[in-house]
Amino acid sequence: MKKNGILGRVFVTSAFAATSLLAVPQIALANFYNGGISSGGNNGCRQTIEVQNPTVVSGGSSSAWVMSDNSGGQDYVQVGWDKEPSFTSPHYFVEWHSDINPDEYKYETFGVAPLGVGVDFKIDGDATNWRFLINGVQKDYEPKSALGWTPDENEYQAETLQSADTCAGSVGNKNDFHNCQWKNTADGIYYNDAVTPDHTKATFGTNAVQGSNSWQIWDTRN
Amino acid sequence: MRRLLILLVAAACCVGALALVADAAPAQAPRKPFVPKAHATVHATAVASDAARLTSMGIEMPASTEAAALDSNTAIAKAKQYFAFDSAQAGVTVSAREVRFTLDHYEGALPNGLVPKDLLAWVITVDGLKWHGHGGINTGTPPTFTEMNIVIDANSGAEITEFAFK
Repeated sequence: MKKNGILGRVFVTSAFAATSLLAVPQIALANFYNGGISSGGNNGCRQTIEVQNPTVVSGGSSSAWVMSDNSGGQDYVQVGWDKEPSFTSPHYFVEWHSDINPDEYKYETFGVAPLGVGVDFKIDGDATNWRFLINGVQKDYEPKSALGWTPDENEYQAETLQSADTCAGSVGNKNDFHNCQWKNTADGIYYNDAVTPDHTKATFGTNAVQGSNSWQIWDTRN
Repeated sequence: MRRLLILLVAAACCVGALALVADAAPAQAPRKPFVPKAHATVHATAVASDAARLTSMGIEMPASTEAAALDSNTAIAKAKQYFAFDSAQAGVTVSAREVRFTLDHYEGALPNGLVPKDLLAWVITVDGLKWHGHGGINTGTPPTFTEMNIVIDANSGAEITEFAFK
């Protein structure tokens, strides 16, 4: 995995500071995240993520997923669980997007996910396809050639859309994110991953630290 | 060099202060701030037909006229239970198609026990919506979808899938 050196981290921090100072009004419109990121070329990722039932308001959503992506573009392949406003309980879902081939994007659900259970969500890039697996069983695939990009990072996140949406987990019943792994492009083997944690909302909590492989998240409003 | 470092620290402090005020700002900087890439091929690719895209996504839904337990109005009412929408909302249109439905890429059974292969189904298509995809912290603004297709078993009323590609 590629790692940023000290100078690289200083540069990234300063670049982000400049960007943020200019973009503060837009940040309020962005989705909110609670999870972790690892950078470096890869051919997929996986993690066992517990399914809980967070609160979602009209126009919002709350989800948890693994994703391989081309950072800086709107390019990603994603599998996990998602609760939309009309769902009484989260559904399994896959989603992908390409800003290189602009008509290539899809969202799809595959039924109600069981609450309180850890589910193995897996992105598996083979020679020709991005495969989406739930507990080891393929639920969908998309040709790599249709998307037209290669990943340079993985994300393992809970995500909400509206400020009033809660992310999974409470102080008394934290949501487990267990054993994140990334797939090497060279030998096709999944290795334990180590993330840089993030949480973008004051009510979101996490016990992830730099280098975590497993962690728990919560929302103080649950 | 020392001045530069002081400036960097000061800038980082400003961001921290703004984060506390805005509530929505990242508590920790993403390692790779979003920078749109200038892909030469963006919008240069011809948009495939809906039929071609469905085939590519492994979704088969040839039309059917077989007798089903649910009629189209009942199917639409059922679909609203799975994905809430207001058919009276300006710009929103709803259509119902009876089909034989297959998810080619799907292996095994759905959590409700249905195997999504050659099922007699209603596809309820709701156009004119505006809802957001999921994306990631380093992949910019998620896509905005303008449709949702709710697929339900035409005999039991059970949900098979929901999908959107526009």
